[in-house]
Amino acid sequence: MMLRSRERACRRFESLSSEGLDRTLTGAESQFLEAHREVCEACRQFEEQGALALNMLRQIAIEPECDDNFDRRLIRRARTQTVREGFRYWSPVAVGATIAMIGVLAVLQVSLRSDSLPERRTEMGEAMRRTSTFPAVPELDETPKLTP
Amino acid sequence: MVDAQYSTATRFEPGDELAWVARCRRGDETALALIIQRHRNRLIRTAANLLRDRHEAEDVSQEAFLKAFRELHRLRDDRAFSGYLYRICVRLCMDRLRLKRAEPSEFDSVQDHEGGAVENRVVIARILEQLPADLRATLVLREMEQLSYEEVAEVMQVPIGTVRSRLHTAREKFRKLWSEAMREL
Ligand SMILES: [Zn+2]
Repeated sequence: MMLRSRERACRRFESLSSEGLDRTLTGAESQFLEAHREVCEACRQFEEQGALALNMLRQIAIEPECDDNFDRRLIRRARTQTVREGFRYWSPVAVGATIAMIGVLAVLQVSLRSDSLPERRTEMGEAMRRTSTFPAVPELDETPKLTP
Repeated sequence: MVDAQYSTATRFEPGDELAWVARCRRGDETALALIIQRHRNRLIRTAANLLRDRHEAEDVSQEAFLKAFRELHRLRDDRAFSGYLYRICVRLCMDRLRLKRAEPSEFDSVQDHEGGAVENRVVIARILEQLPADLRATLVLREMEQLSYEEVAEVMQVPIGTVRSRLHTAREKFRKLWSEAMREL
């Protein structure tokens, strides 16, 4: 029973000591931490080690020196990207325009061909008309007799 | 020409960026250079702290700038450019961290180094390598980059509650691994 309540207290200590890094603890919470530190060596050490670790983490933050070469390289890449993007943007338009041009050419060619058609049609029409002027074939009432 | 003109430190006035972003949309290279100059150090520093590699950090920062410029049309409010760029950078770093974790690591354990005479810096870097990408990024953004909970939430696109719980877990894991490493030394 005692052990369980001690474990609970240690867990609460861990939790509050972590929360204490980001918010102001209440008076009761701070008092609890203080009291637990007095009686629990493990938690005290854990807290000290944790604070040391986080301190180390902050200390090893990298502050890289950036040179103008970075800017030059990036601007060059941005320029290439712009050209590439421009090509990607305009290429569907170019393809569309080419297809449209081919279409127009095809239509033009067809219409030029159809201009030459009327002559033939006239000829055919005349031929048809001529046949209609032929004398009507008389209906045969009887079989024509063959004279020797 | 642009490079030479803006290679020296330039004073930035608040509100300048709004005009630069607008000029960037029209393909103005001078504005591009000014934006790069303004944000590069912060981006490289964050990427370096997340990835623990300066060269890779420069690489990722360049990618972030290019992506931001390429997708500038997606940005609805030009005033949000700074956060938008930073978010892209952190996301690219997270992608790399996830890929790295998927690869078999050369140093699987904190204790695997020569002779015990190891700098704390190396120990910390190895501990960070052992944390999952989400926890590592949360810890680095909060502890090293000193971002507020709200800022971490915005950058990582998660609710504040998630940041709080991730940070708690990350700190606990970090402390535990640190204590183990210290016992081994
Ligand atoms: Zn305890």
